[in-house]
Amino acid sequence: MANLQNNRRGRRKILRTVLIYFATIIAVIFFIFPIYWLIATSLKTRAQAFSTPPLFVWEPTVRNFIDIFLKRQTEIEAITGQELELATGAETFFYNSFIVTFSSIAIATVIGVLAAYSFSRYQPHGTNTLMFFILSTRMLPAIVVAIPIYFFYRSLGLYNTHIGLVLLYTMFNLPFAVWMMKSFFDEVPRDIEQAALVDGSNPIKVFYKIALPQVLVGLGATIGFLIINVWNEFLFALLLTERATRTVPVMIAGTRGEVGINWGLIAAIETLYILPALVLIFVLQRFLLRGMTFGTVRGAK
Amino acid sequence: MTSQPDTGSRILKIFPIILIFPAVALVVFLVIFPLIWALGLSFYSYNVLRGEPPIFVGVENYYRLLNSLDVWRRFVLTGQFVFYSVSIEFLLGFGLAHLFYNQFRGRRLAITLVTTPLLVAPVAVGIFHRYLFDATFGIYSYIAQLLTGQSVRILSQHPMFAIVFMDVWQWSPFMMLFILAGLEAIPKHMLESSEIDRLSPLAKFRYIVWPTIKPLVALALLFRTMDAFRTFDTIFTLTGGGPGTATEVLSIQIYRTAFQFFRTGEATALAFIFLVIILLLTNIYLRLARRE
Amino acid sequence: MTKVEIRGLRKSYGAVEALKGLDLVVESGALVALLGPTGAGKTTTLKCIAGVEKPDSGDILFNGESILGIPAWRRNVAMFFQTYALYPHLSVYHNIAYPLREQKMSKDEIDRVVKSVAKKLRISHLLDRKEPSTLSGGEMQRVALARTLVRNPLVFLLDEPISNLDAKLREEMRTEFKRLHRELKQTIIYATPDYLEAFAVAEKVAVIKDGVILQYDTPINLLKRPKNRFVATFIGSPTINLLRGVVRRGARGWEFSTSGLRLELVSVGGAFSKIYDGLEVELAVRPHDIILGEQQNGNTFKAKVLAAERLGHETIITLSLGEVELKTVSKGMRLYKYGDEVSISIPGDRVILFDVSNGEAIH
Repeated sequence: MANLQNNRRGRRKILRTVLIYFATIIAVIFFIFPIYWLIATSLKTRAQAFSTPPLFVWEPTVRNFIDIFLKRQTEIEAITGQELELATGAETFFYNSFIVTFSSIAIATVIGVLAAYSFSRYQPHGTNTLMFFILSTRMLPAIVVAIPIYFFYRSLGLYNTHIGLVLLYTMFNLPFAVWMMKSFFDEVPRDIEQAALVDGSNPIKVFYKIALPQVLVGLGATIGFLIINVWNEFLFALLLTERATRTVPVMIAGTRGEVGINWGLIAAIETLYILPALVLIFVLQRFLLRGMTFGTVRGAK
Repeated sequence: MTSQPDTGSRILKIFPIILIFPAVALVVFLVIFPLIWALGLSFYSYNVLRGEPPIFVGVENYYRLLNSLDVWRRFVLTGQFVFYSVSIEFLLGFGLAHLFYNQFRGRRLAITLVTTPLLVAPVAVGIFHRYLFDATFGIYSYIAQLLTGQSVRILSQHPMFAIVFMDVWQWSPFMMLFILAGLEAIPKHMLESSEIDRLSPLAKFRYIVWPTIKPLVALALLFRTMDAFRTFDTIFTLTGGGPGTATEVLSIQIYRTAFQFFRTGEATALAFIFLVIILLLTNIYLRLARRE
Repeated sequence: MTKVEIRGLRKSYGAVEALKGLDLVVESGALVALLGPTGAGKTTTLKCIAGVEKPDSGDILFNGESILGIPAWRRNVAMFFQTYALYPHLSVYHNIAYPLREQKMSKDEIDRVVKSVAKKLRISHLLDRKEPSTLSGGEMQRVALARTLVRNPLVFLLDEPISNLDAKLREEMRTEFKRLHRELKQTIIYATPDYLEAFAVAEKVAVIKDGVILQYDTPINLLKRPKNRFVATFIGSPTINLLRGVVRRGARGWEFSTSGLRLELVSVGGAFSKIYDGLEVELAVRPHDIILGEQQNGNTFKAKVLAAERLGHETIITLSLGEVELKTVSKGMRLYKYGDEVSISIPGDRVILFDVSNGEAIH
């Protein structure tokens, strides 16, 4: 009798496990498939990308990745049937994206980390108000400030410059940097820093010898999160750049039009473009999600 | 030991202010100031292409916009997009959170994979969904054809479905993360005692699970609703607002008015109406969340 | 050798007043215990002395000179933190060496000092450990102590240095501190919530509660002559007996009376001050001062045994005298059982009276 019950319970448990795995696999396929298909398409020739029904088995080629950088403007235009505004190869756009991302994040991180530390430790008057304000800028639709900023930039000569974009991205990411880093600094016990003060370190030394080494993971996560933010930004890049300073997302968005697009080539550019984000999510997933959810989600254990 | 004047700690007192100053200055320069400037411009008739100085027209821009059937249609369209997307994302996220609340081998990896769409550039998402939805060689169209037995041109026949589907794909994991965090915050002993008391699954949810996850659900809904309202990149790159104006949500309409038709005054007025809607919604949400 | 004076120290955290005008003088080279319950203000006091918390008002002087203008990192004070506050990213060795490196001591010198302190605290085998978070509680505590003791500061501040250890190790460490103090001859302020620990290590104990020092005295005086009800109840185990009643002028002097009980009082100092007929008081008598059996010149009563806890070398007996309950302690194993009748006597010179209206002692 007891045995039978055990058996039934055991069977129910197995059924449950099977169901969980089944659901998980479905979910993973649903969310991962478009990314897989993107990468798969980047490894197809033009003809393979255009096959109906879609090809699931083919001989992969890296031709597209070479073409992105080697084909000159006219050839790519011919291939994509698009006015891609490629001065040379795609490297210009990647270079622009890289320069803008790197500079704005370097500035935002340095200021953000220092500001977050002083917010966390010295709690100047109005800290809470300012933090709330920072949170509320997240709610502000970019399109609302985009119009005035566009005109400012034109009249100030910041239009179509790297510096203009860097300034803008620094400002948009500073709140995130402050917010995230503050949450990491808040977790460092104060006693440890006070012990260092008593042990003879001045506050500046305490900051870089004691506090900073304890939030290195958090710093990495913050930088990772900012990289994705800037790297992915589209609207302002679209409005404020022309040929010389155009970033990758604007170039990708330029590949519109209905006929004759070489999807293999575009998929290759997109793959390269989203690669940093893919790498980051596998390295820093838990911490990146903290930024996305404003610290509400500490990351699944 | 003499008590020498202490410059060190005096510097420290100004330190935070020095540090915060650039942040605040940038915010003022790039948010507050533009907003005020735009508010001013919204009372003018101004078209860059005409090359004439702006003419003060008072509230005429607002009056015209709010009386335009076209604008109201965009409101409804945007509302539909937000409603469909957010509710499906909530349901899907809710289910996924409950799935991943179970402990099993490979759970961490599965969560990482499922949350990957969150970090993929919206532009890449939009452009690539054009390929996925492509009527002739898109795999989604192919699947739709297998299911319905006839060829479906999703982007031209069901554009709303396409943009909602894409949004659901990218943002359901966001909802899932919040709800999962809520579930994990439920004290273990409460679940155990509910088991001893033999609570029905419904009662267990009503009295134990829901009260704990409610604040997180509210926050997730707030974030998602606001973000859905502002959606620009993905829709702009997938449909460009089309076909016609079938998917021209408010943010795209503002963009087009300002940068394709260059009716700047009108665009800023529309942007402010948009901002007011968002502020109102935030307020309603926060008030509801607080009353609960 | 540093004399530490604290004058009228006040400190609030928002609406919470942690220190409400605290005064304390620690003589040069003395080991003074700061004794009080959690939240009494011990840690805040030590942190103010160390300079990591800034008092709202009041003054702290070292050898007669105010140190409030000197920032923590130049005060030359060593502090042991209750939370240990080990640097998680440094090895055990570098944790202990940290203060010395900040003093720009030479590498060889640092090595010598660290190793000798580690040896003294029996943690030499831990020096190479990379992550202090992997140590046991007792090990962390000794590493933190080593980091405090490597220094040669003006004052040592020790915040509950042994409260998280197990009973046996704690006893060992108490003796250790006395020895250390003898060797170092330094001023030490030692915070603890445990009166036994305070009495064991310190010559003088300051009882702190709600941010003020209630009594600053030798252990024996704290035990025999508590200034108020809190000090009397906080110190001693089992807890002092408290009986509520009224003072009357009797035939042979002052008497204490409560339901069914009358006690003749003898003032230790000769005459009572601030006493009058009908004054409502609480009478306190230590369990150890109640004598089992009849006594010639004592107040003798008949009592009934309610319970007897045999602890080995002594027995705690709970008695009932009519409506009043008392505890007493007797040497050795006493085999009383419930309902046994015994005689007890309460020496009139061993009782303490507290004015009910303010809890102050009447001597």
